Amino acid sequence: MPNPINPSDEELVQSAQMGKQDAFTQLYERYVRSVYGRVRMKVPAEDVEDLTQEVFIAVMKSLNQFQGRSKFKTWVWTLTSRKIADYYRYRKNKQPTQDINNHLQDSSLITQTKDPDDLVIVQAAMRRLPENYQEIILLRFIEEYPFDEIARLNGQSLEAVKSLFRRAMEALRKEMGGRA
Amino acid sequence: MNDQPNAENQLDDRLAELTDRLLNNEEVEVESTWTDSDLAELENTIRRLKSVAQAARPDAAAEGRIRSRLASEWKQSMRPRWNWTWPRWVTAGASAAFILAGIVGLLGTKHTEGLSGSSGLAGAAENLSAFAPAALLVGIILFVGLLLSNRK
Repeated sequence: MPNPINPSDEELVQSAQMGKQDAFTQLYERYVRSVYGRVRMKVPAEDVEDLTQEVFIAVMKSLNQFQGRSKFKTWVWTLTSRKIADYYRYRKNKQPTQDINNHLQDSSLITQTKDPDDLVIVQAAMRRLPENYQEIILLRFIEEYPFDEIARLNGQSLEAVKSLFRRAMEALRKEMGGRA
Repeated sequence: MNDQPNAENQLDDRLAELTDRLLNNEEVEVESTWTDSDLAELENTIRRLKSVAQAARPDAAAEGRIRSRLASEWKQSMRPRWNWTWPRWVTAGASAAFILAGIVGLLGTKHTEGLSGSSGLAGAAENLSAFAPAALLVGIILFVGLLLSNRK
């Protein structure tokens, strides 16, 4: 049953699909922290705002393709991942010699930096992790989901989620330059 | 034989608990509470990740710019779309039927003016033409109502 005070994502999507801008604004407010946080974990600071904007424009333009087969939040996260991948693909094609990703992948640079910027180090390390490791770290630190909620969301047992989390954190620690 | 899986499970649980406590801003004294050196190292990673993640929201100026860009993009690309629920189909159909009846009635009046006497055709046309303006009016009202119902 529709709840006019606190409508579900799906109800807001339906209203936005009918052209109601307020509904889209509410969706934006619900997801701006999530999208911005995810982008910020993987993209250089100067491009985070533009890319966040691009994700929401992509959400807006694809709204009518959203059929409700998956949850809206997972759909938004998928679009965010695609935009981040596009961003690096574009950079790689455009500036192969100056690509910041290649630059950051040089772990010797990270470990030798005297005054390392944590954000840059975390971004570089995150991007080198497998997708499932990245995702569980984002779910716990950016989305702030407790472990049992992550287990429910992923359809996994709590033990499996905690085990995946530990492996992800250990991999991240290694990527961040050994003994963090 | 099962010691290693148990030890790993314990480590998983302890790391999860440590993460929860750090994210909830609870004080954790690793030296006394967590003697495992792996956990002590991971604690530092969690703290750094937490400090990076906590700033994960655009500042007011950036948010203002994003909002205004999205608003202008919305105006450009998102025209109101119809949600064709069955009451709207019925209203649209009724509107079309009334307008058509009105037009037929008005046209019929002109064409049957020349018909002689009180033939059946002329009588029917007269009956229809009497209601034509009212039918047109009802059709137009329904159509306008349909348009208004889709507005914000």
